[in-house]
Amino acid sequence: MKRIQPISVFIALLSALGLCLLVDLTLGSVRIPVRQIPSILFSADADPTLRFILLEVRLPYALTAILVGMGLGLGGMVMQTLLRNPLAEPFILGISSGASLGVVIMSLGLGVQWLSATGLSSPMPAFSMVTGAFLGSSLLMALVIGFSRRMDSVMLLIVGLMAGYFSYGVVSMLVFFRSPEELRTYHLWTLGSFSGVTWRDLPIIASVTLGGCALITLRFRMLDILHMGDSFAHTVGVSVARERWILLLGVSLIASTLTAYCGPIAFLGIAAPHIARLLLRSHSHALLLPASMITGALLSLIAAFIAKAPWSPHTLPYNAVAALIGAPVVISLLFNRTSLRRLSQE
Amino acid sequence: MMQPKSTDSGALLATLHLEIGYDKDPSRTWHFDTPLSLEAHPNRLIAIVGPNGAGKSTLLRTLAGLQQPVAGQVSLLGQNIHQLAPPDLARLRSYSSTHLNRPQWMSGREWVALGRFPYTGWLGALDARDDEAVDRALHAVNASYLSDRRLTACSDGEFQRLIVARCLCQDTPVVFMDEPLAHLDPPHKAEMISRLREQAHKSSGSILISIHDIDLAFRHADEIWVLGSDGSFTQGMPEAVLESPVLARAFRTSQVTFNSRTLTFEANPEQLQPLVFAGTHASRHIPTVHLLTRLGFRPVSPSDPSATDLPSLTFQPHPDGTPEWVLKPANSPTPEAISSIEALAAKLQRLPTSGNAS
Repeated sequence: MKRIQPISVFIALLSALGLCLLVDLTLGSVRIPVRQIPSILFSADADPTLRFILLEVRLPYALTAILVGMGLGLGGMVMQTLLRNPLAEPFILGISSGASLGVVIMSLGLGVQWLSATGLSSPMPAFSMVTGAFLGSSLLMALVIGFSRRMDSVMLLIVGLMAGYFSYGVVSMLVFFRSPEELRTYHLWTLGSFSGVTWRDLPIIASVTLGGCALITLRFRMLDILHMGDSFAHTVGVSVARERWILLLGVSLIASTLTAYCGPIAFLGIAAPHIARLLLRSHSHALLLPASMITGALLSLIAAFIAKAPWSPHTLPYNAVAALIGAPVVISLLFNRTSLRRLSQE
Repeated sequence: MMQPKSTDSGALLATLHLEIGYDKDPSRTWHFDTPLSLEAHPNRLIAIVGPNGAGKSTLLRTLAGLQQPVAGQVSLLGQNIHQLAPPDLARLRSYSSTHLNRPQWMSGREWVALGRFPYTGWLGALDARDDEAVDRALHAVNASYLSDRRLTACSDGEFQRLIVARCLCQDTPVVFMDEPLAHLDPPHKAEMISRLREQAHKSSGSILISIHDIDLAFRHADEIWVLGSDGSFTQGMPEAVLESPVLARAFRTSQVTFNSRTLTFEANPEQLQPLVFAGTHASRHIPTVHLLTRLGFRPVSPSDPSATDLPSLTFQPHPDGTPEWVLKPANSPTPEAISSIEALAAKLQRLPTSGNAS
């Protein structure tokens, strides 16, 4: 296969993203003509209903989807590179389940009945939610990374999975004794949703995600080197332990924040990096990291649009939709063996 | 290029009472007869030889600062290696092993250029000097033609040369390479080791390699370090090491012994069946000796006191002038004339084992 120029890949991805954003903003239970969008955005005398739908519902929803896709796409790429394992992603390493644990413990500890409050619309004080999620995921992350110094990547993955199961066990125990109503609300949270995010939350999500992405993307050279293995990285002068901490903390920050607001989101973290790699056919993280972010955003937006079920009054669970899109992608990638075999440690 | 500074003794690398291994796993800690106090001087290609499991790789990794010593310390150009920050260390020593992933879609040149990491900024942009260093390293291992080839399209031997080039490209006074000749074919092995020696002399540095090809090590290295399976350690010029019995002892197994004259491993004499061998025929002598050795016989001179009880092999010209072998099994009065070496091989293999052989 001939290699496509990276610049054309980026142009194509960005155009697709723009197109999807436009479709997402215009289509839904109420149709907003594309031509009216500028006037709704910039002039005060537009139809207030349309204005509300666009500004208060669709725009935050779409922006959240884009941020989630960016953050998890990038996080997946970093995890796959650091662990040299094609199946690594924040969720698989237990970071997301750590975040769930943090959220649940925080809500119990604070005595806030957030589970039974107002459903998915950000019932818990945002700060404590994010703090809980961040502490939980950092705890899991520290545990996994603490082990990482003395084990190979396959063992690390198993430890991550076990830590994830363990924290899910704790979460299930804690939630089990709550009322059925709270249980259902918690269950809805685990399905993933962007509809709870409002303009009040977006600055936090955006600054954490964009800041984390920038922090990680600027270290693309380190990722290039770390991909070759710890020994090699040490040989050419990388402080391996320090870099790994910085990168994993960045991923943890992003993954935990996104999980706190949107629930544990699976699949994006695996699918986006592989698609980016196949499109670019490059080893350079200077290209792979941005491509993974854009691909993640694109996939996320598509899944979010389908989850909205614009042909019906219902909303579908985001994780179910993402899995229905993501699983076939991952399976089809399995058949493209070279991409996976080369990535896994020989 | 960084000019090597040296310590008072002139050594680039020195160790003090070093013990190597894995702290938490006593079965993987090597106990040398005495803690190692080593020195590596400039302008040297140093070959570390020793049997499998003698600790060659562990020693290299410890000297390169990739693993903590169990005891003692390593200093590089007078500085304790474990007190140096990784970026500073990377400008003083480079290290390569054969256990490396080949990143997909990377070219040979991009791979070698990774060795410039310690000298480039966060963007990783190569300036003219870096480009020149990459060219030089590729040229030094005769791998310039691999510049644009993808790593995944290189053979194991070609990738091995790129691994060495990557290591040289780091431009350090001390270079450690774990089995740089692995995967290379015999002519390329000989070429590579002589190029490494040339490189050590040209850069006034020390290159330390572990190597299994003893003959090449003794023919090309400036200095030999021998790690024995018995915990012995010896260092010296190849000739000095050859003179002493350490090598034969270090490598001895129940089956083979090192022959320091031929630089090869030969079956232990007691494993061989004695056979009286006399008479020479210019064109048949060498193949006959080769055949006897290969089939596990030890030629004994006819004047040896035990000669009477042993089978014997002689040459005898045939009446028509072609040479023939005459084989007389022990305890058999009838010698047998044999005209082809294939027939001789068959007869020798059917020879009853004599009582002397163990």
